[in-house]
Amino acid sequence: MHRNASQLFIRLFAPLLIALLFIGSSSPVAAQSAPQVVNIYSARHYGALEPVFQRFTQETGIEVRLSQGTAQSLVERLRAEGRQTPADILFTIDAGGLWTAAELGLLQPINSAVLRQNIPANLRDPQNRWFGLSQRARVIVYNPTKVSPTELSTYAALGASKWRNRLCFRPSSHIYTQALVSSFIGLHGEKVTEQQIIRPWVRNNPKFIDSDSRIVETIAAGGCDVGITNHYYVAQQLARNPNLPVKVFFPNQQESGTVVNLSGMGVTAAARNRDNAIKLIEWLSVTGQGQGATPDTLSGGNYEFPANPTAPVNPIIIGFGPFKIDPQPKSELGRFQPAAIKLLERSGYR
Amino acid sequence: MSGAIHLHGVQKAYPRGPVAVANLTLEVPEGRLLALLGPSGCGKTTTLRLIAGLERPDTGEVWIAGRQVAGGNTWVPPEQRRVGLVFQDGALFPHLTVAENIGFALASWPRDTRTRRVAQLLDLVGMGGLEPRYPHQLSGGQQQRVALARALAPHPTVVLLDEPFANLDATLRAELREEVAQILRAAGTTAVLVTHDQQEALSLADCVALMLDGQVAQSGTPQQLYTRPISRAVATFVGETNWLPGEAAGEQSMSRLGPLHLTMAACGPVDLLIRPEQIRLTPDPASAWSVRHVRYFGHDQLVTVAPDPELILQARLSSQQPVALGSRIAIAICGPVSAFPRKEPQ
Amino acid sequence: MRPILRLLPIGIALAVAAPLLLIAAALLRPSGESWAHLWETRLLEMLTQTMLLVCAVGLGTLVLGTGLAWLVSAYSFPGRALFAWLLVLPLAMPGFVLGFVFMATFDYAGPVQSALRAWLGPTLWFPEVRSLGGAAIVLTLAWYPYVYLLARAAFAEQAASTLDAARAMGSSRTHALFRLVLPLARPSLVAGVTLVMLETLTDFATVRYFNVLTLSEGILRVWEGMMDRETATQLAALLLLVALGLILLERILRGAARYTQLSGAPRIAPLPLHGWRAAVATGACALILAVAFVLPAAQLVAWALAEQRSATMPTADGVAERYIVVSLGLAAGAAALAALCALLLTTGERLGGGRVQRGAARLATLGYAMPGAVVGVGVLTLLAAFDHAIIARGLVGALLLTGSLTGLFYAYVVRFLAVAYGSVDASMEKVTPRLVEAARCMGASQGRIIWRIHTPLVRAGLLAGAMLVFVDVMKELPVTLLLRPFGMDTLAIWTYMLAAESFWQAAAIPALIIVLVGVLPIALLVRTGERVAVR
Repeated sequence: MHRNASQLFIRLFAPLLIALLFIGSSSPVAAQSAPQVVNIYSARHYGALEPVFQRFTQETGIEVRLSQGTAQSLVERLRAEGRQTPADILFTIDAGGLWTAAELGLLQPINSAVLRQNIPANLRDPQNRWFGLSQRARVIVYNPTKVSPTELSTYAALGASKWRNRLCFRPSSHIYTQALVSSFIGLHGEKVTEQQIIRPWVRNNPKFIDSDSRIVETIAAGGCDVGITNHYYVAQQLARNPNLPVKVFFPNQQESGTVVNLSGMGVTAAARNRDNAIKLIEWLSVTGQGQGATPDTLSGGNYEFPANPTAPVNPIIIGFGPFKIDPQPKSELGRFQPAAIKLLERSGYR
Repeated sequence: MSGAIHLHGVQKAYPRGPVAVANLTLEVPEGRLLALLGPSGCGKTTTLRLIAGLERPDTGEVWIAGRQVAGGNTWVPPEQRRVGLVFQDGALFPHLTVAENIGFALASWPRDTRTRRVAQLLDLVGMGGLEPRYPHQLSGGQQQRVALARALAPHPTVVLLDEPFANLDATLRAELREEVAQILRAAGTTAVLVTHDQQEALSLADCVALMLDGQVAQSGTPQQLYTRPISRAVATFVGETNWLPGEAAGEQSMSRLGPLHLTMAACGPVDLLIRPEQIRLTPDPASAWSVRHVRYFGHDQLVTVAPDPELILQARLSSQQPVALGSRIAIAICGPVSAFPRKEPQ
Repeated sequence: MRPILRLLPIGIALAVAAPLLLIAAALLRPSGESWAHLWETRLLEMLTQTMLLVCAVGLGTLVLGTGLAWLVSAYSFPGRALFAWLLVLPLAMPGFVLGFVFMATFDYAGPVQSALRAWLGPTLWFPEVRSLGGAAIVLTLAWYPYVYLLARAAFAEQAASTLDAARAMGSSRTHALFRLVLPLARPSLVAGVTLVMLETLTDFATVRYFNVLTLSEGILRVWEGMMDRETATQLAALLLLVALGLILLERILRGAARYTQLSGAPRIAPLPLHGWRAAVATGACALILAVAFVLPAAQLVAWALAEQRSATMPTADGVAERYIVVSLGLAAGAAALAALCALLLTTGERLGGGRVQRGAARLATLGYAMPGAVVGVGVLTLLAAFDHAIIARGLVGALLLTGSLTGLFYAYVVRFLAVAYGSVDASMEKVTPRLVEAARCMGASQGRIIWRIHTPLVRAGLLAGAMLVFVDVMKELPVTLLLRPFGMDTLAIWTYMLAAESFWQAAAIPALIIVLVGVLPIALLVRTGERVAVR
């Protein structure tokens, strides 16, 4: 060890630091160097890579790469990254997220005849910035041994006193609840929503469980009698155990209809692999490719309703019965989300 | 002015404290061992650190071996001063062996020369053959020897020792300091030893500098400091004292013990300093003085005598001379005594 | 002193503190509307719940950790030597994993209540699991090892002679424990409890399962739900204040003691226990270990096996392997970087650094007191601003730091430097100023001193610090979520995402891998008995 050790140290350290800076800052480079890719910021967490994407890659040769996160953190990241974002597509489980992203200018309009043909107008952005690919109904779930379907009618009716201590809801922190209440505000305005729906709900002392599938399980076990979840959670459980004592009831059939959210995609404003992105979304919208009832489709793999009206529907969810969907534009599910959150908090909804 | 170490007008104050060293002037002759003596807080360790270069003086100059190392615009950092330093706790590198510790400063030497030098030093300090040991495997005394060897390894101009024996037990301390003094003399190195133990300073050093409150109160040979202290403070620090009021006229003085010869001429009312070993006792039934207390130390005894409760003298006598408690004795003083002007009560 | 060695610590500290200062500055820009709303409805509740949880977990870990430490140090019973280090294992399990396992096991639809109902009837009352109480229990079980380790070290160092003196004066062991040993061990205990309280303060993943609205959770809600970064940042600044308050309180309560050895053989002669007492002792240790580690791990294994059989979540080939490689790589890189920065900080402090360097070191360790989400937001904002600035000047064409590995490592260092620093700092105690001065007088240059004196002596501390950072990064969520390069998902993220959708079976495999990878360094740490900082 010599006196030169310190100089050696410094001489090594400085170039190492600079090298690290360049090696480390590689994100767009890596994203571009692969042959054909499409990069997705995904808020959908049904496994590391759903089978539908693997099929897409087999058929087109385009590799699909996912980076997961919550919708909000993904939008936050897109905002920060701006024009240099590596993401080509934003994939959410809620229309509100897409609407917010579009309003922030993070998504670009896509002029695609295929998409216009395959996806009904009420399931896509009027300005073609985002497209719904599967639908998820927010339904009432009940235990048939304790509750008869004649007792159920609307979302608001769950505020009646006979449901005291028998309800299970998702907390206000989750996007499903926020989207539902946002829809209410769109339909009835804040005052009515607060006074006639949310506050009565809260007065019935519901249990708050931060997991839709857990709500279903709790209802089946007898912990509560009625809850509000997305329909496919019930389908998943019934697929595993057909004898589970839970049934689905579609609320508001005499009124405007059940609130249906969607899972969809939009191409980011600064997408580098724009063409691949469009190809993917188009592929996902075609019956027999992305749309269908089998596990290797987008909607089939998760028991959701396809967006494409020509696509077959999984028998389990067909078995829930036909139902009227509220025709409210999906943008409403996102427009009033901030107001919905404040409303929920004001009302004491956890 | 060609001493090996020379400090001139050095001042050092710490940021939040009083001045540690003020207007200090000190000289250490070449090849000599100087003891820096003083109570805690007197600035002796600071002085040592100033010589080593671990502190920088606010004003003044420091010269080592004819080269200015501090002062004005000059500053030579400790790495370049070729000063060896031995600490109170040895400060051996715990992760290195004895040989590696000693050879630390010799990194630039060729391997065989280094090994030979290490062996030579270990023999010098009486620890030959212990190269592969680690510091935690050595006793306190052995660690200090290694520390000394380490300091001597690179042929330093000057060796500084900061209370190196303070952590050792009494017997070991006495033994080790003798050896260290011999080693340093044999090597002909200029050395400064900081200590608060006056016995250590008086017995080992060629010159002693007593520091009080950041300044050198007196410097000289051990004999000079002991027999001719220039102030009460020096006198009290350097040895045991008895004080007797008296009247001085030239080289003689008058006191309750009769006429006493003075070391230096003085005039007027004085306090006389009598060292305990200067007092001789002989039995005398007619004397006003009696033995009040005897404390036995094995090799000597400390006898307290007094004519009345206001005046007490302590004498150091050989333990061979039996003294009975309460017996009347006559007092005789051997050798000249120092006189200091008496402070008038305010 | 070489200028670069004096400036480096300051540079590191500023770089590490910058995101936090950015956030603290937010307090100066009140954003009225959201604040007002928050204040009316939730802020008070957030503060109350946070305080309650922090105090409950603090108290719980104090009692549990100290009790176990005393049991293991002062008494001997069957299995004691084994339990002594096994009781530390819960540290390997991420809090949120313990949370969801607990939830899945004990809530209404879970196996425990179902079995009890089958046995005792459907009207059985069972305490509500999704509550502050549930959260407190889970967090206590997850973090008592911090207090346990520090208490055990304190007992090992002090208790022997104290106990002997006390017994010579006629007091029983128990009496001596409360009157003498515990007060003497106070510095270590206070430090351990403060560490736990800071962890509780900054946790967000675990409390989410339990419907507890803490400040950290509130920050996330405001930021995610309302897209209101301004208010979120201000809440974060508030959190920072609370954390600083805790740290200050700790310093006052703790007094002068600074460092303790992690495991020394207890020098107390342990009192042998017999008969039912021994059974109780062994049983207590076994129970805690079972509830905090063995049973959750067993549940994870059961789920993992079920997943292998039924494959409800088919994953593409090579995806799992990639997650493992990414997790290990990130953890190792962050650990090395944090250790290096810690070394530079500590040597800079000691080689002639003054108050500035010491202050810099304090500043650099603030990141640990912040929730990961806040650190993530701060770093993201900083890097994004930097990138856009240099892009605007046309210096580069693409994002340089945002979403890059460098940015991610930077954020990890901001978050975890304190861990590495504490370890290295504790080891540095071995390098007394005398050693450095002796070396200087022998002609060694600064670099030689760092290389030949500091580094070998703190090598063990460096290693311990690096291992702690490694385990922490393996478990880390929010920073990674925000800043990782595209496609670099980690095991922790994968687990969390699956658990969020209640796909517990599928989540069990990555969770198990995290636990396994964490067990090894922790066991090593405890066995080698390296010093751990007490801040």
